[in-house]
Amino acid sequence: MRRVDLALLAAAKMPPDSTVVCGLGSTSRAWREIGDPRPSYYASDPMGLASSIALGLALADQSRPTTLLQGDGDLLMSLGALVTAATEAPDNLRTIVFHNRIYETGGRRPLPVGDDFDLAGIAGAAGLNPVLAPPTDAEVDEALTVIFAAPGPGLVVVLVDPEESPYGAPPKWSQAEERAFFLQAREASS
Amino acid sequence: MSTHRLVAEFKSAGVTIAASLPDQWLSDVLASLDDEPWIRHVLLTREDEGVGICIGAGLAGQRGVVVCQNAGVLLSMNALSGAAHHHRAPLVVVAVQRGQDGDPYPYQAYKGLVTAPVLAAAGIPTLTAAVPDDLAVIQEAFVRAEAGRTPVVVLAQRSALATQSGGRA
Repeated sequence: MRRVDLALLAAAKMPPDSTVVCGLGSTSRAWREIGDPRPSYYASDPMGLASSIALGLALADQSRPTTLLQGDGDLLMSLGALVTAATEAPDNLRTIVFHNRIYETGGRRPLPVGDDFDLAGIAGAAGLNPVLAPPTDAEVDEALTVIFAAPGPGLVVVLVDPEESPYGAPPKWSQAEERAFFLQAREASS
Repeated sequence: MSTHRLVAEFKSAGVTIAASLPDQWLSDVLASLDDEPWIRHVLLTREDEGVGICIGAGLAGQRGVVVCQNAGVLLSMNALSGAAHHHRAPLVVVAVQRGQDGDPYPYQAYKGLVTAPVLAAAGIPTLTAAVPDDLAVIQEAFVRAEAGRTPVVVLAQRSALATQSGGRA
């Protein structure tokens, strides 16, 4: 599955009132590319912090869903955050992991994992529930349906194709400006 | 059981989420956080997680605070610097200053030496508390954090957290 197709499918499946937190790199590029209108916080740097930002948002506002879109390398940098999310167990938090097994934006170098690496197994052992890892593209649709129908904190690991991801031009807006846009969008949608 | 003075200051400041990683000198504070129903006490695996949680809470208009040892500040410098200069996100960290205040443990000494200079080098505002009444600085910390869109770190001496009742005011 191409990452932009996963972004489109995620947008189609997540609740209309969901707020999105998006990790850095090619995952954020895919989410921006589809132009989804939901309030979306592009967590950018530091790498590894997006999962905690999403948890804080989900805990602070339990009146609406929070969906975290995160690359596998981003998630690997903060595995402890899986434990914290499982312990706090906000039922409004779901995570979709874009699993391409490489640091796509960081030079397409491989993740330091072996062939039998099981990210979903790690998340499940940490206590997240439900955790799904659809083995084929055909099963991704159903997995996303399940994860959004069930109370969180659920997580889906979706295999996406490694793609060319040339380092783009500097962004138009600073992170501080992005934060202001997000706060305005969220206020307008509440 | 009575509320610790620091936790009472959190309540006055309208804090709704406290994220912590323990230190022996924080035991009374953390026990008090456990006792209070009005605040969500999140137990961390790393202190920089707490910085992220506070950034996220701020996106929902809530006030969050990280409570940790000064080693947690050192570990979190990437997250704190990103919050200060990239996200421009307000939050408050209260860090107990190990390696000072008669701390006899050699493995704590470097933390007392380097934490404040590292924060200064990163351009992150710092306030201090040496005695329990100084903990009122929490109110100023949030004002400065929100006015400046930045993390503010309160470096608390052991003497600020301890009282005759063992830490609880």
